[in-house]
Amino acid sequence: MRTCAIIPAYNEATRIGAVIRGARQYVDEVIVVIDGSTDDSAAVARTEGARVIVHPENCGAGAATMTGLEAARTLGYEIAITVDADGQHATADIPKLIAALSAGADLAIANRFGGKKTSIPFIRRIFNGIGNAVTFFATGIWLPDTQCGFKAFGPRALRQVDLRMSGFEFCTEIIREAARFRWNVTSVPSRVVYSEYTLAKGQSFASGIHTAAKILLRSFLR
Amino acid sequence: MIIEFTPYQIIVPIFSIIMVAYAWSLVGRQRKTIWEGMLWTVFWLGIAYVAFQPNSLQYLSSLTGIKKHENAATFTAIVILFFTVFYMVIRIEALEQRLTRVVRDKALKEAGIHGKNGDSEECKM
Repeated sequence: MRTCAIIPAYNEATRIGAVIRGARQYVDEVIVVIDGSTDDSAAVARTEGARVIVHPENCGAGAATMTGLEAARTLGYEIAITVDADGQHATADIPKLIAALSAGADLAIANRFGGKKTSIPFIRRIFNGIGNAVTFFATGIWLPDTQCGFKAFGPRALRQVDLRMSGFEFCTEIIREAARFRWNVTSVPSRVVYSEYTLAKGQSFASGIHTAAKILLRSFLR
Repeated sequence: MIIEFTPYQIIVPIFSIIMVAYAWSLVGRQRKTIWEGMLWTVFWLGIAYVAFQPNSLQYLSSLTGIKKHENAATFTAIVILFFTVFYMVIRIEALEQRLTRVVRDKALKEAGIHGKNGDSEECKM
């Protein structure tokens, strides 16, 4: 099946080249969505041979991901893998996600906590646990790592997904889409590389609270 | 024994039942999930119960200390303000979503990926 990787990127010029090279080994094409970046991310992505889509304004990770999914649909891809641009995901695990789709899943989500030994800081584990709890309350689906950006959309999920949330809350919205369309969702253990760089790029506690409030209010009043 | 109901005790539970039915019709049309349908049902059944059994709020009254009518009016005003602000937040989000769609369409068009039905330059080839 035709497969592409989608990398939403905001000011990731120093990292995105390695991510593209890593993903390209396992997919037919890499699509990079530059989300209003002010650095050389777009030029680096083009040099690496990726198809580049440029948001003229910064719209958020959710909006950039949906742009990539829309492009994948339009270009006729059947499988789309989303990968963070900061290099925290092990692109070598892409075949494991694709294998999960081949086994019958509509959506495969990498589980950064599934390995025996991980480098994830304790505070990140706490935040992730809160994110999982909020997601469960909003969707009724429990997964061990709902906030991971490393996901694989099978043909059905790629055809049906319609994300409206622009920010980081899109991870929970994807789980809501899974509940709405009754996708078969599976969790796949994957390695993660946390560094000072990736930690600085992540959500703060305040933005996490904001995200949780938006998810809960929206899920109730939708 | 004849039990008399006030119009309030009849209208609000009927309205609640309509809202529950509406929520499940949205579930049927896949616009709400089953889980959201259940949350919505619990919420509106709670409203119906309070309307039907106003004395059930006595516990809340003792909990919040709202006993006088003046306090209740202040509390109601705060609730109305909360919903007004929330409505404005939702409207702003709707505008953000429109803006995002405009940005997305422009970005896809400039990348040579047009339309939602595979009518891009590459797919035509």
